[in-house]
Amino acid sequence: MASNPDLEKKLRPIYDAMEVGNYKEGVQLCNKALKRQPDLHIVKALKALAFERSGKMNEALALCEEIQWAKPTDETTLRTLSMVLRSAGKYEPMIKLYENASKVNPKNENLATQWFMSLARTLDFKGQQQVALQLHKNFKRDNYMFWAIMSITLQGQNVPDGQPNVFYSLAERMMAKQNTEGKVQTIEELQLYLIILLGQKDRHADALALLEGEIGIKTKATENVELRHLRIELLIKTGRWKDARDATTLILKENSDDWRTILQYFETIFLPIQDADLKDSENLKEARAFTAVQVNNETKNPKRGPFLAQIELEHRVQEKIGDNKTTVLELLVAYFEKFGSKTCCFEDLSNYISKLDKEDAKEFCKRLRETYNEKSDTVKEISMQINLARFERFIGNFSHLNSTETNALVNRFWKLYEEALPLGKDLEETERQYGDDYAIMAAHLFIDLHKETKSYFPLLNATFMLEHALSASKHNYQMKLVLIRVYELLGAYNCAIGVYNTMAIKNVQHDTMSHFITDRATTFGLFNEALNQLYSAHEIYHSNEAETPEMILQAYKYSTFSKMQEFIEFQSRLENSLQKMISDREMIRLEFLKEDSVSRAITWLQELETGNLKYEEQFSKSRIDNRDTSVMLNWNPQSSSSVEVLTRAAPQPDRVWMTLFTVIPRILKHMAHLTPVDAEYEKLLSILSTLATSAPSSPDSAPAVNELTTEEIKLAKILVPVTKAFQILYTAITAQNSNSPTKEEPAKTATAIKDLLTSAATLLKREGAIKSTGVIPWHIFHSLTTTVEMVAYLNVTNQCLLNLVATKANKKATFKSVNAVIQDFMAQCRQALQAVQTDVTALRNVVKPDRIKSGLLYEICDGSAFDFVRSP
Amino acid sequence: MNIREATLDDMIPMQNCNLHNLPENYQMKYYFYHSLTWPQLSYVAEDEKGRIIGYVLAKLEEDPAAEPHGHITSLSVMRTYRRLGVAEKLMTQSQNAMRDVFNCKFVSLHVRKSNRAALQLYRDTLKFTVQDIEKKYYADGTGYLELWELECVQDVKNKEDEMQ
Repeated sequence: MASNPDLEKKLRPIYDAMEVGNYKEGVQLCNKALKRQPDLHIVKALKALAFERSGKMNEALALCEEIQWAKPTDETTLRTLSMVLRSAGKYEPMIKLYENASKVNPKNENLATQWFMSLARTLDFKGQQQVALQLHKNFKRDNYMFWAIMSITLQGQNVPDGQPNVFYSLAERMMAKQNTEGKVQTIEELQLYLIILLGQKDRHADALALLEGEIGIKTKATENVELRHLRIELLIKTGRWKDARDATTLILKENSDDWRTILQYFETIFLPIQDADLKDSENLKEARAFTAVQVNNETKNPKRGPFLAQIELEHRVQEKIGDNKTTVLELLVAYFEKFGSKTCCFEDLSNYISKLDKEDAKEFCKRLRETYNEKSDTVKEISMQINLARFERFIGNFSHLNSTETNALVNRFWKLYEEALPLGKDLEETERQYGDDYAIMAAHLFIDLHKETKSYFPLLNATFMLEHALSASKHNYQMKLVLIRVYELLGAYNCAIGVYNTMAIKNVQHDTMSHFITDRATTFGLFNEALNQLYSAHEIYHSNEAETPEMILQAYKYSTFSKMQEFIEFQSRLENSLQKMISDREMIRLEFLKEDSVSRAITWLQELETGNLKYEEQFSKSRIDNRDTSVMLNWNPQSSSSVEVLTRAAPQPDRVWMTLFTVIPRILKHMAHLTPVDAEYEKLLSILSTLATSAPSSPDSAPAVNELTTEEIKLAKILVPVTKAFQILYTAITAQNSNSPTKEEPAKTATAIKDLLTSAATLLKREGAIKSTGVIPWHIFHSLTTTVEMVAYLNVTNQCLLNLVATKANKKATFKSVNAVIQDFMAQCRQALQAVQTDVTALRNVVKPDRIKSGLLYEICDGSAFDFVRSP
Repeated sequence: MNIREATLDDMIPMQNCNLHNLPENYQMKYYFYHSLTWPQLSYVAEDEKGRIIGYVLAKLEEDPAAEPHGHITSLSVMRTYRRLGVAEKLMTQSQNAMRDVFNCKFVSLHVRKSNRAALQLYRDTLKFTVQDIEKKYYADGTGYLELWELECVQDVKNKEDEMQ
């Protein structure tokens, strides 16, 4: 608020209107004030804010620009301006404005810190360094020196490995000076010092000296869990084995469960000696004695740590010198006997089980099965039985079964599931039933059966079963994830969305989990539903842009140096998220397909922003994959794919997929603008040609090899000749117009274009009629929608070819034959769309709702998903 | 299992930890705020494979009128890892830091009366006592649902107690 009482009186009503959200009135009041005093910046800034708040960003930004020219220097105007620009993601202008204001008022500390902050928002570390030093010089606060040192350190983190790092040396010198002057006092300042030392090669001893020295003691560094852990790590790195071992045992005596300290303890045991000398070493004896004591200390309510430590120890001995298999097996059996009823038992042991010989693994399960039979009267026994079943699945006991065997096993698990229900009748709604994992395992078996037989009925059965089980465990997201995937395989996108929406996906989960519902969402033909999912997931990226930079500023304000790098990395992970780009491309496909006429589609393409549509290899490579694919339960044997992979309808979209759907709209946009054929066009064409020759992939093969479906490759294959046709026609028209000696006979041009378009037309025909088996699975939708998408692209490219002649050729009559060729191709495109429509009509009749007994799958079958086919 | 300080990178797995049962719908900035302001108070528990299995998000209550005290904003343990004392360990770690770094005398938290499992954990296992009952109204889709929220408190153990 301005300090001038006159001004304050003027502004009060504006602030009041804004505060209650009455932005319209705010704008009116601003206008009134501006009439009397047209150059009052603060009022203009408030008007911009009112525009921004009421969603009129363009008006707001225009006003901001006006104010910027006037270079205001008062804090209120600048702060208001900054709010508007920030919400538009524009950070650069404020740097200049604060710089100017700060130079005009060199005594104003707040303006100077705002200048620093405006640089921090854009991660301009060098600029920050200079301003922080100036702040320190002018206002003499120690924290400004640390800001400067932090800014230098952050510059150092961007220096590639192996190159001399002047930033770290400089930061270290400045830090050392602060230290000798006794100014390093807090734990965060110590952390900064450690970051600088450990960022350099071979400085472990120095970092250790710092931790164990005066500041370490002063800041109680060893009471901090992280620094205590770091100290042991440094002790190990500097070979102070005894100190390290003493420190770890001290912690473990107090907390025997502390796994990372257990691992550090083992490092002090194994690292100092060669494997060959291990067998009779004192170290090994000591470790065995220590873990035995730790195990013996666990009496009532035993902790798992010491027992796992023992397994880990003997497992390592087996890996290093062998001849220890029996010991490991006995320990594993004993562990199960002790902790088999804990739900985490499978997670605890699966890693060790996977390292056993096949016979030993079988022996493990056999012995437990003999001990525990099928006893499942109590919750504990059920939990134990489920763990046992998980291990049996994991070692391959349920693999390669035939249909009869699989169905029998499913029935057995379903019976066990139902028998467990009464025990959970008093459970709260938020809890899960005790036998839920039986239902999930039965669903996994159905998925196996589907893969084996290609029949969709096991999947239908899986949905009935899971929906039923879900009614007793409303919040079991593991069931939901399987259901989502199975519904997608069945082509039932509405059902998948219904389940996904109940998971209350929020915040950063939109980045990690939304791929479950947005991957190739175009496929299902429900364009609006797909777009809704994509847009709501995209919110996270906007809030990251708006919120994370502010947090980085807070980190400076609170001097939380240890978190600075974390925030910057977090911001970058979301900013450069692969999922963000993949979903962006999917939105482009959908938005394009929603345009209901060719001319509107062309306008849409002309207006499409290309700033984000990058396809360079460097760009692809620097995307960060945050997608969570490990969240789904999986007990499949290691020799087979995980449930997550097995339930993918198509290979997971990745960089290649992203490139294809970046190159396509870029080429179309080029054509829509009738832009001259240039080097960039050639480059796009060459990328598209490479993609067109890639081999299709089966859903479960390694995603890195091939991630495009046959249909997607066909898109590329068809668009290559069309892209070339545009090129040829453009060149021919230019040559004709300038009457160049190299100009072609028009008939020759027409033939060349005809050849290209004919090769495209051949590919347009889909092979074989679509057969329906009562469900319309994902791949049928995929085939149909990709054809529709293809024709939508071709309608645009054909129109662009016609436009090229109509607007660029001086003598249009010359290209009459070319026009005829294009018209002919257009007819073929119409035919392709008609074929799709015929198929869809047939499918619609086959899958009438009454043919399906359960109402559950109504959405799959009511044909609402087919509205994407418009009359050609 | 081990307990370590939460980092920003943990945000992603932490969120998956409560994929299902947490009623909270905190904005990202709320997590950020905790991590920035009191980095020593929030912890995650990892399993042997390094995966996040639980977390505690805590803060310092900024009430100048009251004694310095901490507040547990959120505590969550993955279902598979329940009944193993994970929650207790997370709480202890956070409370130790409250005591050592911020000189806290007690710690408070809110729990819904209907959340029997949580109530049992706090009251019976962690020895919290109910201090206050507050009526709260939550928008629940169709109408308003009345929920009782209990404020529970517990004294932060001093070091001597801990030794015994």
